[in-house]
Amino acid sequence: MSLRSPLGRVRGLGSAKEGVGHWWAQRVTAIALAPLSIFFVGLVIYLMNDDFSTIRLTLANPFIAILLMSFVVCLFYHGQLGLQTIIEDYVHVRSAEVTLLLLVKFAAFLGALASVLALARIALT
Amino acid sequence: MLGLLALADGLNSWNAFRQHCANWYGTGIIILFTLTLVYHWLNGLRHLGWDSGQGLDIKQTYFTGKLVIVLFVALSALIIWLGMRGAT
Repeated sequence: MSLRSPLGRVRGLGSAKEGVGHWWAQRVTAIALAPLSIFFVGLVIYLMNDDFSTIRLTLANPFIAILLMSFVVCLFYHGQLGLQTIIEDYVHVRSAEVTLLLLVKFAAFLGALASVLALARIALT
Repeated sequence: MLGLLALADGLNSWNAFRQHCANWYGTGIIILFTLTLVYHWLNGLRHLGWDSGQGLDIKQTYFTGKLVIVLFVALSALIIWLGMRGAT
């Protein structure tokens, strides 16, 4: 029999009140991505037959650059959250699960940074 | 992301990227990405609807499910058609 009071047990083992953080982040990025992906697809179709310098000039426009940066950051974040859910639900070997989670997080972080760096370089040179 | 890096790197990289896109495997990847994006986008909106408590009864769920399939075909066809126009 435990000597801990029910209240103490709940305080020690209960929710950290962070359980919905992941869920919310997934919704927030989804809501941001819904219009941003229309913008992205539209931009690609619009620029499809343009040459190198025209495309660079267009992406150097601050409004377009900021929207594209928002798009790629949200995209990688949202993708990381989604893959995390899949890995947590379906990978049942704990070591493989943690390894995959780390790899996905690193890859998403690198992808987002590389895209933002590329966009910054396009916008600032 | 690869396209952005190529565009940032300079004309040579960009031309190489365009070459890959124009090839059968590049076009294949773009089309597959388009299909998955459209399908995920439509079902994502459907899911956001559920999250806000809308369309949860059986009848509406079946209806939006069919709607997603119809819109998926229509939107994908539209985007791919727009993308193929003028491309050689």
